[in-house]
Amino acid sequence: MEKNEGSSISIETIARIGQLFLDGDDLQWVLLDRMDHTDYDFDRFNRLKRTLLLIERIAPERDLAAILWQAYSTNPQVGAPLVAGSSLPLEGCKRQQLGPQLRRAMEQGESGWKEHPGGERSFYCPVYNSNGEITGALELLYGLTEKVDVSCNDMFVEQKEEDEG
Amino acid sequence: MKLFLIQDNCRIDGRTGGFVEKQYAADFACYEKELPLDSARNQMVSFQLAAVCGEGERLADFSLSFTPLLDGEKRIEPDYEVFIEWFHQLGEQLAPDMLIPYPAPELPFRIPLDGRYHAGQRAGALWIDLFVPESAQKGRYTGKLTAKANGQQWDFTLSLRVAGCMVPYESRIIADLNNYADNISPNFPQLAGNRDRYRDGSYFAIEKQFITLAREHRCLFQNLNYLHSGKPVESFAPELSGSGKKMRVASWEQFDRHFGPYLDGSAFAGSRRGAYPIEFMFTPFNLGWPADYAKWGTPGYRTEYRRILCEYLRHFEEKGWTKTTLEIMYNHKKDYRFFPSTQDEIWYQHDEEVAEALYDIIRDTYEHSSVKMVLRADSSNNYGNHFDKYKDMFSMWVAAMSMYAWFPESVPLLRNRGSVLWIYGWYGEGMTIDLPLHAFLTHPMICFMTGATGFCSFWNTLSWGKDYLRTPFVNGGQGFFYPGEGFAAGDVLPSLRMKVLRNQMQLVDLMMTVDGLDRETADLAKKDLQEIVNRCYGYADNSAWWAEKPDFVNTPPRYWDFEGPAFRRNHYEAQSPKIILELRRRVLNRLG
Repeated sequence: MEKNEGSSISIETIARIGQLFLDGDDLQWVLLDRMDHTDYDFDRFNRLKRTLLLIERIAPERDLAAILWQAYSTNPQVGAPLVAGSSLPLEGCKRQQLGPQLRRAMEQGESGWKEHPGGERSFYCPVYNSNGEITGALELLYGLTEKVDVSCNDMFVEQKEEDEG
Repeated sequence: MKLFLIQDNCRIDGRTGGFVEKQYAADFACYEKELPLDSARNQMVSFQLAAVCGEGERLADFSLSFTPLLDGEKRIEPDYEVFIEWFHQLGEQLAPDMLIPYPAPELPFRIPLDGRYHAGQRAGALWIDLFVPESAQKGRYTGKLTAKANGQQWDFTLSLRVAGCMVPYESRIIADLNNYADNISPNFPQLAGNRDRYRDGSYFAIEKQFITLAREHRCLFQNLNYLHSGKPVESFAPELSGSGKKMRVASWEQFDRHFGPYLDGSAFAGSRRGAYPIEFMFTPFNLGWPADYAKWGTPGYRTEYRRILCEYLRHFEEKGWTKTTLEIMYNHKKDYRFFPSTQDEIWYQHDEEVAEALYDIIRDTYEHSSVKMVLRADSSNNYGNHFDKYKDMFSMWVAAMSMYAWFPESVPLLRNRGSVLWIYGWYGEGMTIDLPLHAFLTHPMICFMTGATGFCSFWNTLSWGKDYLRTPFVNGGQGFFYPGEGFAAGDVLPSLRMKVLRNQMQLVDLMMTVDGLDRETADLAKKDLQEIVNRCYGYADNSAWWAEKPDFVNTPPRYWDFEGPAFRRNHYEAQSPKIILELRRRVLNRLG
């Protein structure tokens, strides 16, 4: 259980509100092209994005970032943050191997916390469609000093140098 | 010890004392007594002094002096700018690129230059710029350069032919150096650790050095000023308050302090180029600003967008900032997860729906203002599908040089509408140190020969990498400047490649002074210059600057083979760097 830390509303409660308002069918079908380049259904993306932005505003004092993740259809160990509110997750925007907390949320429906090395915290919870199936996970990330974005320096230079190394 | 002069189309290999461009070595000369130079008025003329040590020898003591240049009673003052060439590891070679102003308080001109980076260095070099002012008279001038090295003296004669023609102060073709805000601060520890950097003036002071250095080199430094989330970087947009019909600009103070000096030209006071306003500038308008994206598709989104756009235009009108072209550029990419469509280089056709929706929101605003605002399309993959379809929607086009070359019919269509038309692109990893210097002639010449009005050959000029003193990241393909840290020579240093591009820009700006003189005129000067360019390149006519449309042009770009021959064509591989001198000489002969 997360302490309220000066806020009138807990992260778990915000996540519960998010689960109620996020449309899991939209998340299930937000990608038009699931195998190749990213391509979105605009209407579904925009409904999800709007909900994420509003979730972030439930408790402005928390300065939350809300992100929706989805596992890759034929390999649930891999996934991507498909829709970002005001920030990317700390892991960036690329398709990647999923951590255990995210996988537990998406495979077993278990909500849980992850502590990041920089002191930030993420809360993950499953998102369900109208058939009651899990179609992805909501991440609520807080404790950021700056919202995570894509920049030349972290996206291209550092990453490429690491790859080359 | 051997000292000699070389031209500005080649570089000395610090390891061997030979040329970096060794495959063209037969085309270069080492001038041991007299160096011939050609120049118009109001231009920098460049050459290099090379010092090559004998076996076991070092350069330990050096000085340099110049005399005025004289032609009878006519005189050109010795207005020189000298730079120490820093050598970087490039395979087996030591190739120069970073330039440090000479004399440098923290770096004497020595061989080896630096024990850590230049072990085994045998040759060093100085890059020397001489400014030939507008007031110089046509003539053949001579002056002396005296160098003393290790107690020995060398006297060189500089033989300078000055033509009567003059390089204009303002460029007619834009050499755009694209950047993203804020990728300056992470490169400067004093900014990265300072949360007040946009308020205490420290960021502005360093950013100004990039912008003014670019201006001095006939380039335009542009910062795309919002993040991929859509949020503008602090001070790159006015502060807003309220929402819906109550949304307004709360304060212009920080924005005006940041950009006012560029928009009124005062930031360039004292420049050799003149204190005129910056030519182009990105605006912060995007899918996520100023309107709340949570309102996308609602009347409120449109209301917020148009209210701030109109207020933005009115503010610029009231300030009199009407010379700069303001770009609305939607840089969104769906794979960055913040927005559902890719607007920078549309990839899927339905992304066009969003472009059309955005245009519908902003239209009938800036068209009625004295402020020059354009909606910019970076459209290469779909350039052939878009240039006619969206000719009324976009008034600035940026197209990769490969795809642009397939559509010569686009130029009159867009130029006749008054649209801005830039080409975009580079070779390999970028305009790198390992390219021969005449590669930097390519973009200006494509513009002159085809009618494009500018080019962007760097999408990012600040990523010099962690060990740039040894070898810049991707051989300089993402870095055109260097940090001055450690040399007590300012925060920002130029590169040798920047000097070389500047020199090609001087030539094309000079050539553009005859733009229009190819039809309905007694002096077909532009036509003559185009024939000179074609002769220098070995081309039969102007058609060589275009390319046949490939068979796949009507298929979706995501199925194209971007490594295929249709994308590999260039204008430098069949040439030698001697084309730089030959073209310069012939142009000056023609213009007199």
